[in-house]
Amino acid sequence: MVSRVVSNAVWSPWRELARFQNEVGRMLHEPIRPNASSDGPAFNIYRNDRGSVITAELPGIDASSLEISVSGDVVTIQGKRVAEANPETARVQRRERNAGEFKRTLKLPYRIDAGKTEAVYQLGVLSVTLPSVQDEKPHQIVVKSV
Amino acid sequence: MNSNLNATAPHSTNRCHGHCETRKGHATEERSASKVFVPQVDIVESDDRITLVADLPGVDQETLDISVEKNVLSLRGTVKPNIPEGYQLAYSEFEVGNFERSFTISNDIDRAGIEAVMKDGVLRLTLPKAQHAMLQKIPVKTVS
Repeated sequence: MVSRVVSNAVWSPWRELARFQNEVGRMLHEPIRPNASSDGPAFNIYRNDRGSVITAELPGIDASSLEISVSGDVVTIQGKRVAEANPETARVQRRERNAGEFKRTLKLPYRIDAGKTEAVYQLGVLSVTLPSVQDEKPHQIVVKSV
Repeated sequence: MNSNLNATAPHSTNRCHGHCETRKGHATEERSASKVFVPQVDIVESDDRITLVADLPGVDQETLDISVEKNVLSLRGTVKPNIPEGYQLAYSEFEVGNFERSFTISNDIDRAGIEAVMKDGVLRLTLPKAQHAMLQKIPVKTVS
């Protein structure tokens, strides 16, 4: 299981690392495209002050096999891509796409509002909206004088 | 190689296509949208057809262009940048871009019979073999 800790303090180093990877990829003339494997799918994370949206490219997945669970500040995305069924007489000439189960867990720097979490699967792209819990207002404590 | 369908070298499609030159001051999202990636494919040959399956996440039937010119089959998928409204990219493991790849097909493929189905970001292309290319069994009669 892959677990990545993402907090406010480390946003920028992650971004730097991604940028460096992209640079290396460009130098090698081969675009880096991580894909669904046992390591889990590649994520893009979008943020604003109310929460975040995780997107992942997961083409050819039965939406009912996708399972998204939220607990506190941790979100887990798992699913399965079924391998192509080919007749026995068929000759495989190229197999670049991979299949199998994947699971990825991500810790966010805030408590996720599980009730408002939404997931949409469209054109092979999964988007999970994870709002933060908003109702944590500071408590006013009244000091009684005795 | 005894194949009716050959994939060209991936690096040949990793080049700029018109709008790669981005003007200064444009958002990163717009720049990354003009990137071109090589989609991953499976190619399976059976007696009467070749099936090509390609991963094209973010592409639908409207934004997919398939063409056959002479013996080159080209796939081109355009992906709209899908940035959630009101959010900013904070961490990125993959880039969003268009897809392009071409394949060399032999004369044994029946061009008119090529069929394409797009579902959940996966393209399934069926390339039937022309009648003359199919393995034909000739029954041997016994003469008494």
